[in-house]
Amino acid sequence: MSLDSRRYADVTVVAPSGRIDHEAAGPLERAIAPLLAPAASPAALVLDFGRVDYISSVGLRVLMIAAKSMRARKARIGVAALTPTVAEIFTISRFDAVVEVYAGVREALAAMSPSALAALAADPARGGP
Amino acid sequence: MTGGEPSPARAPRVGTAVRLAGGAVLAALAGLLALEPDAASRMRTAWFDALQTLSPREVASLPAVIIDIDEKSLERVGRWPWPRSQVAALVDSVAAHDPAAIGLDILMPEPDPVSAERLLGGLRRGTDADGGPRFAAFATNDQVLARSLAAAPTVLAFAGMPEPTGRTLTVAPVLVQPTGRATAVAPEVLRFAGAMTSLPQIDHAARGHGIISAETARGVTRRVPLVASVGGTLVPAFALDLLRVAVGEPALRVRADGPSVEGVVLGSLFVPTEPDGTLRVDFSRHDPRRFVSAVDVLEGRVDRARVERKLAIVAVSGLGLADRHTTPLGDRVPGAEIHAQLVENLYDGTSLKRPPWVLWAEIAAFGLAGALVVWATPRWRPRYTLAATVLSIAASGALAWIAFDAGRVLIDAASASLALVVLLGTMLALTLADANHQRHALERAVAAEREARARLAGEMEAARRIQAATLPSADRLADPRVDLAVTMTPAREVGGDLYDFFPLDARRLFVLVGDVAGKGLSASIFMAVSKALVKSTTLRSRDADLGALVSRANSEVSRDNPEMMFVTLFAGVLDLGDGEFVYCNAGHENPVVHDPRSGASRRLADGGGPPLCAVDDFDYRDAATTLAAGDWLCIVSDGVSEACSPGGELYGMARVDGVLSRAATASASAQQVLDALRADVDAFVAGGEPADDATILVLRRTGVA
Repeated sequence: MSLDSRRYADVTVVAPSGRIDHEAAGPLERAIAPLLAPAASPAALVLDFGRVDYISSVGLRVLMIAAKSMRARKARIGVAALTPTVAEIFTISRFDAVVEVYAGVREALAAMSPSALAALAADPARGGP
Repeated sequence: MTGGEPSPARAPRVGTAVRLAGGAVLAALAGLLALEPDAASRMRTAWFDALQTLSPREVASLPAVIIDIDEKSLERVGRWPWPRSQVAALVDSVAAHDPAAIGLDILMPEPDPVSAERLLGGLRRGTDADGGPRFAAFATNDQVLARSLAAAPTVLAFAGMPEPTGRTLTVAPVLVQPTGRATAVAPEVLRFAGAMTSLPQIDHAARGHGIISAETARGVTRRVPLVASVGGTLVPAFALDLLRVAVGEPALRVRADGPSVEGVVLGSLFVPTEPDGTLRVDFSRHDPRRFVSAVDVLEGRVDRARVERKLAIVAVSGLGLADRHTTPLGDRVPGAEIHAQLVENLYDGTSLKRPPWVLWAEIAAFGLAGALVVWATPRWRPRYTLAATVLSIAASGALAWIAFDAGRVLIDAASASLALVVLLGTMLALTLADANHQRHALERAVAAEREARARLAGEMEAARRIQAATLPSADRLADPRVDLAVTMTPAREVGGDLYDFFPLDARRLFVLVGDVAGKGLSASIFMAVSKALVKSTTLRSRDADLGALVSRANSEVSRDNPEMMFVTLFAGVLDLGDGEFVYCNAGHENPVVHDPRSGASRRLADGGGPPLCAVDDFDYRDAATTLAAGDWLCIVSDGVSEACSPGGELYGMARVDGVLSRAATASASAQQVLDALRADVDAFVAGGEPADDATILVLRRTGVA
C-alpha cells in the first residue's frame, strides 16, 4: 500500500492505494493519526479510495476510529471514488452510515468546503478547470 | 507507503566504561611509577643488576693495586693483628716501589695491643729504677708506624658511625661550589653523626683521610658516596682522597645546585654524581690482577711495575678477617676491591648514570603503550593485545639494553613493563567482565522475548478456549421444526467470530452471527462480552422489536470499548410455526435464503445499520421476511465471503449461492450443506492460510409443525 496526502484549503485529501488489509491498516492508521489530533488543522478529511482494491474489517476499524475522532471535534470525514469491490463492502457493512460516501473527490469537496473546491480547481495536477 | 525499517542504531560504543576504568588504572600506575614505591624500586634494582651482570665493565686499566694481607701473608708473618711495627715495615716496603699514594684500609682506633712496651709495661714495676728509662728510650710501635706513614703519600680510612664518637676528625677541606643559585646550602649527602678514626698519633701522620662507609641495599653495594657528612663536616671518600693525595691537590670541591650535588671537582677532573653525592659504581667482575700478596711485597718478590705510580691499597683479606661486600654482579669481594673499582671508575671517568629525565621518559613511554592497551583491549582479540604488549615490553627492554651497553645509562624497562602487564591484566579482566555482562544482558533479553512469546502463545490459547467455550453446539437444539448446523474455523491467530442460537420461547428461535474487527485476546473477550450482552438484552425483553434490541446492545457494547473495536452482527428471530423471520443486520454480510424447489436464492438486505460501536446511538431498524417450509437460510462471516484464492481473488457470495443451488436440496441435511460449502471454500483457497475466522451457519425450516 502506498499513501499520498494533499491539502486543499482546509481539507486534507489522503489517497491510499492497494489493499487496506491486516498489514496495511497499521501504516494507514499511523499516517492519518496526526490529522486526527485535536490540534490538527484540517476542517475535514477526505479519503480518496479511487485506487483502493479492497478493505478488510481491520481497515474499516481504522475508518471508524477516524470517524469517531473527527466527529468528536465536529469535523467531517468522507470517502470518495469507491471502487466496485470497496463499494460493495461499504454497502454490506453499512459503513455509509459511519462516514460520508461521495462519488469523487470533487463531489466530496463541493459538499464540505467551497474554498477547498476552488483550491482543487486551481491544482494543475488534478487537471485544473 | 514507504519508510522501511529504521536503520539499526549503531552498536553501543564498545567498552566505553571499560576504557574509562582502564584510563584511571593507567593514570594510577603512572603516578605510582613517578612516586617510586618500594615494590617498583626492587624491580628496578633487580633490572639494573641484571643489565650489569649481562654487560659488566671491561677492565681497561688498573690504576689501583691491593696490597693484600692474605692467608699466605698471615701464615708467613704471623696471625692478625700484626704489631704496628710490622705494618710500618709493610708501608715502607710498599713505599719503596714508588706508588702514587698508599691507602690503609685498616682501622686502628686503639694503641697497638701487641706492642713491646705494653707487653713489658707489667714488668716495669718489679724491676730496679734504672730499668725504666731504658724501656722508655724505645720508640713505641705506633710511633714507628706514624713515622712510616709520614714518610710516604699515605691515606687512612675511617668509618662513619651513627653516634658521635668524640674523636677529632682530620680531613682535607671539601669546599662547596654553588651553581645556579648563589647561596650556598649544605648539600644533602649521606650523613653520619660521628666517625671511627685511627689513634690521633697515627691519624695525624697521614696526608689524607677518607671515609670507607658505603650504602648497601639488602646487602649489595651499588652506590658509594664520593662525599659524605660527618657531624656536619663534608668528608671525601677513601678512594677519592687517595686520588687527591696522588695528584697532590690540597682540597676537594663539591659542585652543588642548592642541596643537590652535581659532582665532585678534583683539580681539572670533574666527576658527576647522583644528587646525594654518591656514585653508581660501574662494576667489573672480580679481578685477581688487582691483588698483590703483602708478604711478596715485604720479601721483595713483586715486580716494581705492579705498584709503581699506582694507588696502593693495603687491606686485610685473610680468612674471616675481611669485610666482604656483594656487588650487583653477584661477586662477593673484599671492601678493598670496591675501593679499587671506585678508583678505576674515577680514573677512567666512567660510572652508571640515571639522569632525572630518564624517569619521565619511562613514564611517557608507559603512558603511550598503556594508552594503546586501554584503547585496543576492548576492540582487539586478546591475543593481539597480548602480542602488542609483549612487543612493547621487548622494545623497551632492547632500548634499555642498548642505552646501558653503549652509554651506561640506566633505563628502567622492568617497572614500566610490570605496570603494563598489570594494566593489560586489568583491561582483560574488565573487558571479560564487560563481555560477560553484555552476554548476560543478551541472554536476559532472549529469555524475556521467549517468555513474552510463550505468554502470547498462552494468551492465544486462552483466547481460543474462551471463543470455543462461549459458542454453543448445534446438538443442544433438538427441535424437529428446524435443522441447524454451524461451524467456526478460527484463523491462525484468533479472530473474533461469534454465533449463538437459543429458543426465546416455544415458537421462536433466536440466531446470531457476528464478527469482531480485531485479533487476539482482546477481540475474543470483546466477542464474548458482546455475545453475552446481546443475549441478555434479548432475554430481558423477549417481545421488544429486534431493531430496538440491537440499538440497546449497541449502546451497551459501545460503553466500554477502549480498543475501539467494532462488531458486525446479524441477528434474527424465526417463528418456527409460521416461518416469519424478523432480522436486523449491523454491518454484517447479507445472509442468503435458498428455495430448493425453485432453486432460487435471495439476499436478506433490508433494515439494519452500521456495525455495533461504529456509530454511537444509531437507531437500528429491523426487517421481516418469511421462510417457507423447506427453505434454507445460510449466514456466513467475511472469513467465507472474503476467503482469498492463491491468485488474490475473493470467494464472494455468488459462490455461496452456487454451492447452495447444488447442495441445498430438499433431502439434504444442514450438516451436509455446511460440509459442502466448507469443502468448496477450502478448495478455493487451495491450502492458503485463512486470514480470518470463517463462520457458517446453515438452517432449514423443516416444515414439521
